[in-house]
Amino acid sequence: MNAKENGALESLLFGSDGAGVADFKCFRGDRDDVSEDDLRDQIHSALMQKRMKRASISKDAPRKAPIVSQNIREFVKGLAEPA
Amino acid sequence: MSFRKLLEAFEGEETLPVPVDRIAKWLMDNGIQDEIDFVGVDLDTGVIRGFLHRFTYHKVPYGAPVMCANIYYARNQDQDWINLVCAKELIHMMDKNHRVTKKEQFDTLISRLVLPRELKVLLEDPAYALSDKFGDAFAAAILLPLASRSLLIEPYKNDEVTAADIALVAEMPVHYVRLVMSDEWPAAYERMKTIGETAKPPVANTP
Repeated sequence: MNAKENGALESLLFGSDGAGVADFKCFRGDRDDVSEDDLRDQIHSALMQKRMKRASISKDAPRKAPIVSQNIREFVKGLAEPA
Repeated sequence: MSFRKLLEAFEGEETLPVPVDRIAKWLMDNGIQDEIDFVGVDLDTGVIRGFLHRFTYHKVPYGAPVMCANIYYARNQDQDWINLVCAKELIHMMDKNHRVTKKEQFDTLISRLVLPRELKVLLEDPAYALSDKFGDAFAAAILLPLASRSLLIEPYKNDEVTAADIALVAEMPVHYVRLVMSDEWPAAYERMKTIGETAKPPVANTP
C-alpha cells in the first residue's frame, strides 16, 4: 500500500479531518506471515465494499442458519442414556 | 463499567449457543452503545477475520452525537468464527480506557498485530494493543459461560464429550472451547472480571 492509498484508508477510518473516530479494534487472521500492508489492504477493501454497497449490513447479528438451542443440563443428562 | 458486570450477566447461562444478538442488546440496554451495525464483507481470513470501527455522528445539526459501531466480519467464514469475531468486537465497546482514536495509535496497533510470535512475547505492548489481543478470550467466556462449563466439565474430563462436540453446540471454534475447558480457565476468568476496575488490561503472562 503506497502513501496515497494509506491516506485514503485513514480518511475512510478517521474522516477527512482526522476527527470523529471513537475506536478501532481488529481480529487478526491465523496466517503467520501477515504484513502491515496486508492488514491495511484488507481493512481498506472492507470499508470500500460498504461504501460501494457490496456489503451485507444488518442490525441483527449474522446467521447462516437458524439457531438450534440446546439446554446443557438436559444434554449432559442425556449422555448417560444410549444413543 | 468493568467487565465483571458483562461477564456476570451471562455466566449463569445453561442454554447454548449464546446468541450474539443478546450481547449487542445488553450493550445497548446498558447505555454503552447507541447503534450497532453488522457489516458482512469478503476478507482474506488468513489476514483478518473482522474489525470494529466506532465513530460518532450527528443525526441533526447541533444535536447530541450518536455513538455508532460498525462490526465488520468476514462473511466467507463459518458461523463459529463469525460468532467469535462479532462477540469479541462487541465486547471491546466495554473497554473505554483502551480505545484507538488517533492515527498514530492505529499505526502502532497494526504494527503490533503483525509482529512475529517471538517478538510479541518480548515486547511490551501499549494497553490498547494488549487489550485487542485479549479480546477473544472474553468472547470465549461469553459464548461458553461458566454455568455451561460447570455442567460439561465432568463429561469432558471423562471423555464422554469432546471439545469438537461442545464447539458444535456452543457454535464457537474448537480452539476456544479447549481454552475454556482447561484447568486454568477459572483463575483466568476471575482475573478477567477485575479488568476495568483497575483501568489496566491483564499483563501478558507468556512462558
